[in-house]
Amino acid sequence: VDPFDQVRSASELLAERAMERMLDLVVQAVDVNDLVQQVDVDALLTRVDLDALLSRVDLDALLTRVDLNRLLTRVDIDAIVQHTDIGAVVLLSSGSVADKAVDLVRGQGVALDRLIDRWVRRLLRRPGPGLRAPAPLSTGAGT
Amino acid sequence: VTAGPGPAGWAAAHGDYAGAASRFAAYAIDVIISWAAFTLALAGVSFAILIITGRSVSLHLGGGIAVAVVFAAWEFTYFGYCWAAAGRTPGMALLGLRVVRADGAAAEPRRGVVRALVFPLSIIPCGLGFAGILVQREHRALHDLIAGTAVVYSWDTRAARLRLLARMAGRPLSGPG
Repeated sequence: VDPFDQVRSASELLAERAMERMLDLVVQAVDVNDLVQQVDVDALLTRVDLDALLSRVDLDALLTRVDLNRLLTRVDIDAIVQHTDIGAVVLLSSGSVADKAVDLVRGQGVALDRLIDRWVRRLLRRPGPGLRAPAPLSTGAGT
Repeated sequence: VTAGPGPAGWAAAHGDYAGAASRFAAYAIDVIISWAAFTLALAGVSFAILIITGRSVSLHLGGGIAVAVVFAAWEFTYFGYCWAAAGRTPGMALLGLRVVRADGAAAEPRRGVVRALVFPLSIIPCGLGFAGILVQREHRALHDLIAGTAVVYSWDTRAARLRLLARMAGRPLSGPG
């Protein structure tokens, strides 16, 4: 083995180790959070061409990886309807006079049924809320 | 989409056993509809007889045993066909009710027919057969117990719930005019 090559590989190894150690020390010394706070994100974003970036994203591939059903179960529909004009849109698109009348009749019917049921259970001294639904429909089969 | 907890209202009663008020209202509507249809049919037949024979015949309910028998057959057909074909009569559809099997599954057509056949048994003893709707835990009348059926609330839960929430939001869009 050439002694010159031996010296060269040893010095390369030494330099590599020294560099790794130095990098470790630098990374440990730098406060990354502080560094990030100094970055002007707005200025950075103005330099980013989002259109060009998005054109490189394969949306189909991305969407196939998203479990939309799982995502939608986390959506609070009540809050969305209450805090947006979706409610009004639904009313305008599907809330005919007939629908309102039917809803009113059904609502009054259910309320009256529950009232009568409460009285009867009190009269019969029957404890508990009573039976609510037969098994298959209670799991939510919509019609 | 499963909506989170919130103002469920009456729409959440879908699938529950229906109570006395809704069932009585539905029955009253069906009686009116079937009676009106039968009366119209009788008037039509009377008019047809007048046109064909030239004789004036007044057919009306209470006008003889034959008319009563035909009326009973018509009532059986009205209720039996509706329960067998769709599990609900027009009155029940309006109130959002449906006839199901006692275990909650969809009722077979033959159960609808049996239910219509034994329905008079609830009426004959001074209407005592209907007492089960009030006092029985599953709100089943005598004819329900015999036919192995129950009546539950049944509607498009999602649409009803959305309409309900929309009204609760209470912010209708202002029109262009």
